[in-house]
Amino acid sequence: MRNRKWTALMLAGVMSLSLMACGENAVNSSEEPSGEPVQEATGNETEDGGDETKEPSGEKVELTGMVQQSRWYSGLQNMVDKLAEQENIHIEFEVIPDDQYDNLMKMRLNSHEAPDLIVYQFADLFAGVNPEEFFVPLDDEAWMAKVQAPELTEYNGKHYGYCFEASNGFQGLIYNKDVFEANGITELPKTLDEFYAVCDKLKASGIVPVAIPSDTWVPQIWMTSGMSRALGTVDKCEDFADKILTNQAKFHDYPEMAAVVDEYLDLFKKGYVNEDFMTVSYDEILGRLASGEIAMIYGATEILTSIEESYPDANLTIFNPPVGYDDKDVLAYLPTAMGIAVNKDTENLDTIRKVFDLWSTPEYGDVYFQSRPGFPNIEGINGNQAAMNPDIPKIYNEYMSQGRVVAQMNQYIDTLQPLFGNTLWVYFLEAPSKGNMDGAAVMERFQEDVDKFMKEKGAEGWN
Amino acid sequence: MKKKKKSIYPLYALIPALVMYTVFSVVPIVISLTLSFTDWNMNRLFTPEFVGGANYAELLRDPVFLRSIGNTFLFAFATTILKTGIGFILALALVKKVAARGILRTIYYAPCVISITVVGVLFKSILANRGLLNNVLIGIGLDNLTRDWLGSYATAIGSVIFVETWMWAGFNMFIFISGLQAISADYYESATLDGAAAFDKFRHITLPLIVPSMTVVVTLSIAGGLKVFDIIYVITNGGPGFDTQVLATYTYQSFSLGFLGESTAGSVILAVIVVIISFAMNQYFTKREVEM
Repeated sequence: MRNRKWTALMLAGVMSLSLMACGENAVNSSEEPSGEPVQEATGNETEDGGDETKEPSGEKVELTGMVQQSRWYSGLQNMVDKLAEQENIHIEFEVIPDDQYDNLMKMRLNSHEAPDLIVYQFADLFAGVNPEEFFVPLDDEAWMAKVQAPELTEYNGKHYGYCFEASNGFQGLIYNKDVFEANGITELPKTLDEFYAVCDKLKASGIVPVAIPSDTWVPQIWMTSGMSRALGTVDKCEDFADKILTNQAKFHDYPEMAAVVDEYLDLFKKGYVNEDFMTVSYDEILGRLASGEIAMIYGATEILTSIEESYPDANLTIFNPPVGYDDKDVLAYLPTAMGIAVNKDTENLDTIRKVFDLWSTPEYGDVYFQSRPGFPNIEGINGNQAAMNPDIPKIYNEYMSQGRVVAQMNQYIDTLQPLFGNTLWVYFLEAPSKGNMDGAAVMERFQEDVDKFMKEKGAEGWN
Repeated sequence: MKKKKKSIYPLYALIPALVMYTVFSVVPIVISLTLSFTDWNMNRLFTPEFVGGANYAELLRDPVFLRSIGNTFLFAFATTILKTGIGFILALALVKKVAARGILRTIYYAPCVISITVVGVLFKSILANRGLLNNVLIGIGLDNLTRDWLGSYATAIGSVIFVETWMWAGFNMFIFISGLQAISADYYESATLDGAAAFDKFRHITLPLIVPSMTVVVTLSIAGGLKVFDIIYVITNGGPGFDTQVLATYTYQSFSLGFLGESTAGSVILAVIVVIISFAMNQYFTKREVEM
């Protein structure tokens, strides 16, 4: 009996120990944002791949931060690890699911319980909270002189954040070149009819022409890109947004918006889309694209970069697809600035300033782009564009130089961003699944959500 | 001479528990009820204003909310019937001394100790269009039965009902086993001597005397089913579209949109429904309990 007692106690102790050992390493977890490969953030990565054995200097300082799950990039993790190893500055980032981030951030800022650092897209951040009330202006920092696109963090004449990237590239159709070549498609379509002809050819060969996953943030790319392209110019997009957000116009007053959705819905009617679009995951779709089971997916350059990291043997690239509602061939780009804002309540401002000084140097800044080739916002930092798909800078520069670019629509109507994931983006999947809404019906339904949301906010024009 | 009734514990021993209960249950309930009548939202976190029943009216106008009420009832009643029925059948089978009784009881009980998130992710993968279930059906030549299980309302809601039943039938089995073991064997012996058939013994002895256990199982199942959130959130997230939304996921979504007053009103409605139905079920079964 006594032996049983001791055996039971021992087993309980072993179980408890094993549970403790499996306990969270939440800070620099290998939490994988969508499309991002899991990279072990060793913090030992340098350009020559050699080990850094520098002893950390100074007393240990701990900073806190919060970051969306989808933005917890391996590049950022690597910078955090390097900082800890070399400078003994430890940033504990809380990784939060995207759909909870907005509300949690606002709640914590309003109740003065926010961490030192807030990682977010500045357009979304400034749409959600007043930066003058919550964040530290960083205009006097030395690295501000090297910032390429200062307007990304500007609010009422001051700059409220450290911004890693000047742009996240552009949106377009990512396609498998091998699949195209194998099916005799040697030239990219230039008109909508040519595009449909390409899809018909692929469909006849048993290839799914276009992939749509159930992750709602992917199919919406068609619309956020299309709506801007339908309006065609920055001025028109800004005028549209201004009218919508001040209740001077409704979404269904712009038939081109419904036309964009209708053209997207046509893809389903023509049988160009995978049947399991309501349930298949984004990660599985990427696998099918890489294997050639699927020919195309609407995405963006940062998505292409991520896919290429995960599937280095796949022969993928991107192009700006022809659409019926854009006769000027405009490119929708992403002036989304991912960066870090500093909480006004922080007690570690000097350390944070030091962190940003370090991160604006090539020694740190290059680390970010090593795993995420892109367009750096700080001069002197190497965006590792040599590792980028060559079509990306080629297309980007071509359209930029000709002024045929317009930001994605989500940027202009960013005030409505909290609504998207639970309403509009769901309608984009519900409409083809049930066949109960056309483009106009989708926009009308979303307008009801907008009316309710803006009234709750007490926004101008909605009293 | 009346004997003074001695109480084992003084009444003031209740105070700590009462304080905890008041602070962590009663006060939040009262605050929630109050805030459900205000325009509390993310932009007016500390300055909500009274708006009467506007939140409740808004909810009752929303077809997605009304659908979520329907799904909640469907889920609660379907899972209660299945969990209770299957749990009872398992208990009847495993209360007797059968071979491998211990192992079988463990196998049936095990699902309820697995994390709901793990179960949800597992079954989401199994039920995927190219998941294990469809692959097995193809493997045994039943291709015509394959479908996108989570892609349409009927199979999606059926799938979550199945998973919930799979998880908790074993738990209910143990409650019923305890109840069955408490029934004295004398009753069965007397009935046998009187020439009662097996079904008569089941109907006139087992069923009436198992009602206390039934009360516990049904009340817990109904209350749990009405409050369901996790299994729906992990497996379908209210989809496809909004088809499998239940009250709890709707409230959560409303909270995510920053409509705090409205989501609080949704929580109040859910709480009222749970209280009314749980109380009614409890009363119904308690009246039918037979003292042994």
